[in-house]
Amino acid sequence: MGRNDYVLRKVLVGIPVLIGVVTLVFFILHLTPGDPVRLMLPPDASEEDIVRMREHLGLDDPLPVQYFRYWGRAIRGDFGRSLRSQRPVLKEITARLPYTIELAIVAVILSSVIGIPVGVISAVKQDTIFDNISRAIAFLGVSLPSFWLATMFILLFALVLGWFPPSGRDGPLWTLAGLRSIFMPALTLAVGSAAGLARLARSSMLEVLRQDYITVARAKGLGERLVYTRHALRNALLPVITFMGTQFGYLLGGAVISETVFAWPGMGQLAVNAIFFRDYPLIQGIVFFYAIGVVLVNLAVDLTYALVDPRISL
Amino acid sequence: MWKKWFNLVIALTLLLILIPSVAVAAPLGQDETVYTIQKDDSLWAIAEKYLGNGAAYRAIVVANNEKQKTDPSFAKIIEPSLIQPGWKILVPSAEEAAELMAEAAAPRPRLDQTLVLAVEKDVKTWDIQKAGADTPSGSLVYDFLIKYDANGNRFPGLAESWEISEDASELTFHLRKGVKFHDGTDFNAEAVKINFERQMDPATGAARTQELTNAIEEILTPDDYTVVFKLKQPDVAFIGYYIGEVTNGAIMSPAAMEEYGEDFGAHPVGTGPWKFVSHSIGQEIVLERNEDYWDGAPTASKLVIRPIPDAATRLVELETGNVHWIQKLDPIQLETVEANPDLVLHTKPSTSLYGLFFNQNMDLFKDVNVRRAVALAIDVDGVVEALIGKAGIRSQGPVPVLNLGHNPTIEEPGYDTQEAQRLLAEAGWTPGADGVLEKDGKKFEFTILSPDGRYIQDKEICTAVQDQLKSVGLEATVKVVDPGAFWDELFAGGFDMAFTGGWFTDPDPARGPMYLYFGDTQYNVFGYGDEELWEIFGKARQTGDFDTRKEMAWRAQEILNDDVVGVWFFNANILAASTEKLKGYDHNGIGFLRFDTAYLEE
Repeated sequence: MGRNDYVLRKVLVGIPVLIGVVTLVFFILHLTPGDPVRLMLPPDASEEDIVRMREHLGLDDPLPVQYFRYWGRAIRGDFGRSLRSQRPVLKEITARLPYTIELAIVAVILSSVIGIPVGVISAVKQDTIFDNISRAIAFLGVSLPSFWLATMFILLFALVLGWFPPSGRDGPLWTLAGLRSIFMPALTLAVGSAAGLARLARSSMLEVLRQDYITVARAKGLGERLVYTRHALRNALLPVITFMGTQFGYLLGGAVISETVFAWPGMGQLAVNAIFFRDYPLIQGIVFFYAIGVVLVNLAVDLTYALVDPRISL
Repeated sequence: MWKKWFNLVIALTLLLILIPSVAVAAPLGQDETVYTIQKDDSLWAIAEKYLGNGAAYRAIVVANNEKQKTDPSFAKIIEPSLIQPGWKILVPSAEEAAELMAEAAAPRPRLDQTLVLAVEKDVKTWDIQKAGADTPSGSLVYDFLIKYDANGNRFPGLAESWEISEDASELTFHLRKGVKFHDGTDFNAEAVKINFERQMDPATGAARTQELTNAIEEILTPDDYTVVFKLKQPDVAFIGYYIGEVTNGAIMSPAAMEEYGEDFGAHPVGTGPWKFVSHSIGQEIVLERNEDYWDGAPTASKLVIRPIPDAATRLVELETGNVHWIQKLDPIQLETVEANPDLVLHTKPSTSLYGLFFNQNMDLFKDVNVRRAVALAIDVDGVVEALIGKAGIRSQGPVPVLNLGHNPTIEEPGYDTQEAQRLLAEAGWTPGADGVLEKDGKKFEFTILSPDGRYIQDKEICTAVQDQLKSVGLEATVKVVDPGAFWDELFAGGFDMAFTGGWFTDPDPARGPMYLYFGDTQYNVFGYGDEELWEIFGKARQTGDFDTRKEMAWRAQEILNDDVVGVWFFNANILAASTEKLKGYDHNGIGFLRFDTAYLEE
């Protein structure tokens, strides 16, 4: 019963967040410079055609009218059509969302697999060579720009070694071709994330290892391994889980650079082009779903937290 | 008796001797001809007349240019559609032409091959008439009434022939018979009419609805294979603007448009060389050979088009052999491609122009001498060589070099920093304490507006210019603007110079960037006006006579040059690269995608 209340509360809080985000973006979009009609039409289009197109698309109505019209349709599931492709916004997004989710999942897995063990071991072996080197690499990982990393990966792994295809998605995750084509884009995303995770895992672990109950556990005669796994790790990983959750949300938003360089057919490219061309309905649709996604992910993180941390009672 | 026979023999012998010389004297089709281009000539028509086949114009170009190497009195034909009256050219003999054309004349083989192409942008919609459509992809699935070849020559497409009335207010097209859309329905005059009327219908959301409505009085179809466009006022540019390739004038299947309605943009049906198979958004487009294509089915059997937004990634895909052809190279990639023996660089000049425009709404640049001084202080050659290299050609004046109305006689200000300083001093500008010029207590400070990567090397050029102007005491700030907001900034004004330009496929003298930016149009954000110029612009598209149009264009360029309205940098080249195994590819400077004759050599 308590858990259901908890979930319901979180969802209800999410609704004003959604409305707020969409509203903010709507007004910012319409008030920033850049005219989608002018960007859609040929460079020498006549003034009349521009005016006519604006009317045709309903862009010359007063903003509040456009705003409420948007919600009126959105509630019924009609998110309009992309100005540029004339395809339904929903279709544009659903055609690409699965691929971004796929990429984000693999990136999060990769980054955890790399980052968490490195961070934890660094903490356990604090100030050893392992610790120092991994901290240095983590620092690099956080600092190196992803477009540089992406291009370097392509040059090394695709051009020189030929292990992976330079770009594109060659199939679903459960095929070898698919795995090979997702590896580099996911790795590019994972590097920055893993570095952050490693540092967080390390500091969190160190923090936990300093606690009294760890000393008590050792005093009780527990072997080192059990001390770490049964007592320290569970507690140290709590902030790490939250971090992973927010990372996933961030990656969902469109790992634009990775997707552009690797021609990954995800949301990132869609979002950037939509903004470039001021494709209002498409941008709003993307923001709408992104907001929902972030709310849901945060809910999942909260729930996981509640499950893992016995101190939290629902 | 024998005398009679003897006379007969002599007569016959004489006759036999004379006939060859008569034959030699006959100018047509036996030997080479030296021909002087007349007004309104086209290489196609000349080939038709002398060699019996319009397509043999290619042989004329090759034979003539070969001759020109040893005899410079012959004109060099760089672009077959750009021939000038008075030029002396060589028309080869029919045999020679046949030899030269042997490869082209041979029936096209049909291979079972897939060509993989990497393009920069995914196709947004296949409904070519719509405002968001990307017209270069149209040449794959659709045909137009008039086609271009790789060199920009107009030749019959879905229209076998056409006539333009004397006063350029009526166009009659005679359509090709027996052509079918990919869905099996017939192509005919009704289809053409439906296509254009759909563009004129406001509900369609087409790109040029109002323009077409303003231009077309009515479209008549006197019979199944004749279409007549009656225009409201004469307009020589109508064909190039609406009908030719790479416009919105593709002919789409009316039956399919009805069947798919709003979703036609995802299910294109045309008459073109390639049939639409599938489009996985953001991933790949698959097209297959149209076996019944009226102009000869393509050699390859399948085209796979992959959108890859990043130029570096495109090149890697080409280098690894995953794709066979890429477009839109960055200038810095050209060296890499040329140095790689497995790759071929394709480059053709285009009718585009990019440069710095002065904003004469601002006080600073109202004085023509000040503008001239700024122009003199910029080393255009150096900048173009360093930043553009093979990605473009140095422009000469405000009209692209390939435009038929280009005036090669005008002399731009050039590069002379001393003269620049002299002019500025004369205008009352003196160096201040920090080296920046001053006048009446005001410094020579100004803004150069540049979009961020919308044009090749746009902000890089502006930065280089800023640097050069600094050395003569002019302090410029480069304001880089997100491309989406660039035009808003231009309309808002407040800038002193701006880097912009454009690409105009129609090379007619009455068309081009200068009409747009310096005429009485909404795009003239540069505060420029000149009565004589505007009079010329007003008449240009209505002047039927080519020579008069060209003269008018020449005069316009003189005026613009005297007034130093801008500093012109380059005409972009259309770049592509392919594996050297790709044969038969005809690269064009018009910008459309054409792979009919391309195939892979195994």
